[in-house]
Amino acid sequence: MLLYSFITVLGLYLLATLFYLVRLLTKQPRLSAIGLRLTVIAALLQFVTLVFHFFSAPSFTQYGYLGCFQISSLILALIFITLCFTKKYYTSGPFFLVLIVVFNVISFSDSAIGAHATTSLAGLLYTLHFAGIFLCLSVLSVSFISALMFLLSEKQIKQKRFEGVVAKFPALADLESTHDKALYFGFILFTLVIISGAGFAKIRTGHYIQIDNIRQVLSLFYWILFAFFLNLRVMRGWQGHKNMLLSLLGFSSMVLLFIIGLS
Amino acid sequence: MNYITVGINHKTAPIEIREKLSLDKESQQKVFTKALNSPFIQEAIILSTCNRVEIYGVTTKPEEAAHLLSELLTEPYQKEAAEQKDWSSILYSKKGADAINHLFHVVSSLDSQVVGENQITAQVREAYQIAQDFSATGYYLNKLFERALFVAKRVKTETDISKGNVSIGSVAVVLAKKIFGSLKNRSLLLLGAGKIGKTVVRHLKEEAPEDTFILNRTFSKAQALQEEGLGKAVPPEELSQLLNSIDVIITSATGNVPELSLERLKEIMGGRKNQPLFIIDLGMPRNVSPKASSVDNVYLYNLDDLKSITEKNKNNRDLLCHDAKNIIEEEAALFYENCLAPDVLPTISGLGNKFETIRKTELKKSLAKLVHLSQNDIEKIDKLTQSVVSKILHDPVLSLKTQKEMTKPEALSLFKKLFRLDDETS
Repeated sequence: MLLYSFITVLGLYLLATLFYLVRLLTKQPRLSAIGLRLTVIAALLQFVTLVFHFFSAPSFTQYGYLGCFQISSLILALIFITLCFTKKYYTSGPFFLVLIVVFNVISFSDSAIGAHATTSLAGLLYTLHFAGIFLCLSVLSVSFISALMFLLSEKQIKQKRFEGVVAKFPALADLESTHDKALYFGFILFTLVIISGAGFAKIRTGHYIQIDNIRQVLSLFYWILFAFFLNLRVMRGWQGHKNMLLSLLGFSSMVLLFIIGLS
Repeated sequence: MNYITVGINHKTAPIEIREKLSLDKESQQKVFTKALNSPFIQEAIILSTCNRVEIYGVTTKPEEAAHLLSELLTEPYQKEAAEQKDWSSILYSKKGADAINHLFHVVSSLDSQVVGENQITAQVREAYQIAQDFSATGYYLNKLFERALFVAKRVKTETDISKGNVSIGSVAVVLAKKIFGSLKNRSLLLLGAGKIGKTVVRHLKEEAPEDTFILNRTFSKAQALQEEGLGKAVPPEELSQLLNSIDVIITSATGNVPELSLERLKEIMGGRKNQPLFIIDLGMPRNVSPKASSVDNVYLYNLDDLKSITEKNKNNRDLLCHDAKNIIEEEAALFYENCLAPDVLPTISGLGNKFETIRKTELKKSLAKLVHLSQNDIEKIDKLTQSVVSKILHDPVLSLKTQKEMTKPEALSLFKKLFRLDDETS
């Protein structure tokens, strides 16, 4: 029953994506409005389904990819809906919806997690670690989307040419502000992921970090790089174009790390 | 006497050429002297704005006058240029009714980059005033320009063309919002005391920026603007310091602003930690090098760059332009009719009289046979015949009023022969 509900959610998100993509081609603003309504309905249904799913699997360690990726896509959907109503991010629909759909699709490749969580502390740390990863990915997706929109919009402003849906993107300052907030919050979550991961590793292996574990080394390396980048932004005033390009590069690396982590 | 205009505008010439041909007051005096000393030009007015440079004249020899005015207009460019430039696609020349029609379009802002803007009317008024100061105008141009200013007023009051988001100032606000979102907590700097710059600042100030500074080489001018409530006057020495914190710069100074050169801008952007900087260059010639646009987080717009926004605006305003064009055509026809009074008007009135006489005679004959008709029916038939005559005469009269070929003596003579008007008009 729950599976059918998740499939319905996916169907609704797909339909919303379709509306947003057709809107890009036809330039009919009404299609965006329909897309947004469908997203709201899908998010509500997804929330209810996840609550039931949680009750059927009360321990996070039994939650599986299905739940985690579903949570990620729900968080993204909620951020998108909030941005639409507060900052008029309607035009970001195609970007957000595509990611939401991707997360949803991945969620169906269900597999058990937490097989190694033997103690209650290990279970807690693993829950924090695993939930943190998905939350971090969702939040950094927002910064990725904002950076992408910023670059497209900035290109039009520089070229003095205002066409299509890009012309209706929010102001550069708003995009940058959303991007920065998501980036800082993403960093906090990433730190949480690193700490909880290290704690879990200590319980399991007796070491916080193992040099021969590429996932752990890469994670720490990325965290240092991330911290260095954020520090430079403040100290050197990296803003605008270069900042966004670096951010996109950083996000791509994070996704790579995530894939390595999963494998 | 015939009206003539020769010029370039934003549709025919890029800003690089317009800025070289633009005429300041001193250059205008030279052009006036040369034009009025020639045997071809009797009166002249020069309209030199950011978007156009045009010379209006009154002449008895339109071809020679057009040639002379073209030479006078392109002289500043040719002096600097190494080789002769082909001006045929850039310069336009209009005579008679076309010249009148063109001026009415210009003054009503239908020919402006931003259709519906109000500034051009003031600029035409100023150009007229300058020409009067030089004693370059006379009966004909006074009559034409006074009528043109009246037409602009009519278009403004009888259509909605100047309402809404169309002025250069409004466009600047839209662009600033596209970059900064809101102008609250942002600061503006007006460099120079050009009129267009002031207009833009006034629009931007409606968005409640935190600070507005005015800087001019002559500090007293900046202080005068401060008294107008435009912003805070700052001495020129503070420019370098201001550039580290300002968000929007509106330049309408004369000549280059060295502090905004490409190299300096790169340094400034480093100093201000790459905070975005929006520069609106309204100067003529341009105050900021176009290459400045390549600096990260610098968004530079000059007058020509506003085209991308105003073109879209133009499409939305087609309907309103249609109403304005109707007024202009009506006024131009009326004005031309008055100008042509000595030759054409008697022909038109003669034609009207002849047809009216025919109508009345034939109606009288017919009514004599139709005795059973009531007074009401007779009145209806009278109106019907009037309407038929009016419709028949509409096209030939319109041709006489608007087709310049029809005003030639040979054409008029033929026209009179065709309708056997000699008896009536003599």
